Amino acid sequence: MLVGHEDILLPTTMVGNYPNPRWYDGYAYSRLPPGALVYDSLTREAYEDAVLAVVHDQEVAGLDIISDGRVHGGDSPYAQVVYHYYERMRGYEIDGPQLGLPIYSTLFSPTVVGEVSRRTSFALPTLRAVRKATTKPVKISYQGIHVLAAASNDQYYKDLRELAIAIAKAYREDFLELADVGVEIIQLDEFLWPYELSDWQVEVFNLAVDNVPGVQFWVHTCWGNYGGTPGYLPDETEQEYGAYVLANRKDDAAAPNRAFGIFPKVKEVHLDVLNYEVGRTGPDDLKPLADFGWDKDFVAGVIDVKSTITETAAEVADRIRQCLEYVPAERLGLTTDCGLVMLQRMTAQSKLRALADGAAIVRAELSRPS
Amino acid sequence: MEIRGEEVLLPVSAVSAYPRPHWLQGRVFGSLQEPTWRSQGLRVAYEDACKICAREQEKAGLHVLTDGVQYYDWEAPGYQLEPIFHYITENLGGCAPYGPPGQGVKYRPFYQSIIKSKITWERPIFEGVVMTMQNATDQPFKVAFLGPAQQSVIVKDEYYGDQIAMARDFAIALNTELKYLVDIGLEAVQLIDVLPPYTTDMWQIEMQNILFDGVDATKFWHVCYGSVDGQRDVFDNHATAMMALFKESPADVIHLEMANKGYDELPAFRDFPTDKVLGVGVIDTKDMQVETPELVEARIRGALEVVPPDRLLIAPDCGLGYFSRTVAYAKLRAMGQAADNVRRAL
Repeated sequence: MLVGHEDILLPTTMVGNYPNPRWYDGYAYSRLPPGALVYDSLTREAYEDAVLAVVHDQEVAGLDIISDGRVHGGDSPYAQVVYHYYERMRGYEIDGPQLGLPIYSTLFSPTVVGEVSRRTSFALPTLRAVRKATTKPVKISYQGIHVLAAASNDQYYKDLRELAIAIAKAYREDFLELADVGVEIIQLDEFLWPYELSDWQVEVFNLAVDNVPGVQFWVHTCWGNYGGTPGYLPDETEQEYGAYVLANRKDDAAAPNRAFGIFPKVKEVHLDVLNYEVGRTGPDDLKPLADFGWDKDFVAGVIDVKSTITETAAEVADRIRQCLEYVPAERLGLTTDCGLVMLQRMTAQSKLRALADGAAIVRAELSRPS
Repeated sequence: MEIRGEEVLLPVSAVSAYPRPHWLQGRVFGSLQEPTWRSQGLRVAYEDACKICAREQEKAGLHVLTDGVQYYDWEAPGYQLEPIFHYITENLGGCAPYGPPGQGVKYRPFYQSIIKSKITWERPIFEGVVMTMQNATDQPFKVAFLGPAQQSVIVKDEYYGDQIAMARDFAIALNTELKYLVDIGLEAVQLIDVLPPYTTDMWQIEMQNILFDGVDATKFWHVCYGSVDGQRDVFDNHATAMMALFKESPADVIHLEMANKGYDELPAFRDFPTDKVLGVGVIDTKDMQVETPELVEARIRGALEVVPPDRLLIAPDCGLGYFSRTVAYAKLRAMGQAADNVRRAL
């Protein structure tokens, strides 16, 4: 599979969100201000240190592509992966009602009160920090465009598509800036696509990524994760302070259609690499790749991020072999099901290692003359 | 100079201390009555700090890294030398972790360890440093420590009544430590002993011979003219007088402060022993202003007129611990670039 300018067999990486070093959490300096970081500030120093620590974990594990780890600062990793973007756009007020999706309902929806545009860079400080920390190919993650639009409390635009177009334009500005500095991969986390993927999502995604030179665009999607609970649809179960009580969800709660929900529409999306969760939920979701003739690269999540038990390299190798029944080796990459953020860093480290070691086993099998 | 079996021309190394990240606070390692790691939270932060310190040195182009002494609690102005004075004695048998204040205004903030009984090696002192650095870098690194002769003048002796006998037991205990560290994979050690500007008595070398006996690692010896809270201790030139000690020393590399002193003393190093590498200070560690690579290059070329490139090591004058990290890194980078440029021209 092509990574930047390099052809790597079964390249390994991680999705994004990674547990912060403990010394980074809970301090005034671990809140990233919008805009460029002041060069001699404690905030920049601590941010770059945290990114280096996260990069080092990936390098020691032996990953081929280094992810930024989504070190966003703030006091809730789930909140900051969305608010980070709203705080950097014009047109938003950073408060509003609770989010409608059950597992994310502890978050509020920022309110759109005017025309939305990029106020300051979303990811340039991140790219700089990661580049400083590694010489390997780099992947920078963004929250999905559909996610940001749908999680907004829109009081300004006439429909979701119009708001999404404005966000896509803001993203495009950022992508061009990153492309200019140099980045191998930009990943968008479009985890709402399994709930709905129709013409307008395709249109706004393509608007954001078309003609950004020298960058591979990956899309990550998964079946939802909030502290280990997968995504399901709103119903009448109990709520506290506007947030769903996850323990009271029904066993048969309606849920998105996983991989089958995004096919065949995803073939119209101008992405280079599709990635989704396979490790926990098993090979069923690989079927649409074959059924619908997916002919681009596919990166499979083969590490369960909802279990604290570290997979053995042999277990990971088994999952990879299953993927190879649906995707040829030269078009397959490997990653985690989702971000490792809810796990302890020690466990996350060992899971990354299991991923790299499992990939090494299968690589060796593939290069052995049969 | 030979590093991992390869001949490296004009190798670059830092001396010892490097500023800690501001988020790493307090003392990492315990004294003899405490566990080695005082808290596991601190341990993880220390491990990250070592990775960062190693990476900055790698990026600056250093060949032999230092651990940067990230375990020292030395941010408080006025008390910055505290751990240097006590860390080893607090981890050896026979030494009390308390005592009267040091002598003179400059040393009054630091207590003198009292020697109560025979000095003995009780447990590894630097094992945590070596293990952590091995995880932080693939490059060779050195661990620095205050040597036996120096220790014997800063402690308060209530047992030996004989400074040399006491220094000898320090040397024996530290020799055990060094052998232990080399056994677990340490490749380079750095003796810090700044006595020679004060005395050129040859018993110091006897202590070095005991200290380094059977220690299979690259041995550095750092000498400087003092650096308490950024101040100098010695103002006269001593290079010529120290040369006799350098000739007899079992060290492989002898490193001296030079940039801050100007290079007046450089001609004396025409007599520098030909079986040793001279570590030349080309970065002023008492001046905040970052040297340009051109200035550093000129300093290196000056040194090359006295010592050939296969016996010259490029280093700062002393530790960089008193600077902000921005300045410390910029100084390392200027040094690495300058050494690169000169090496390429050779």
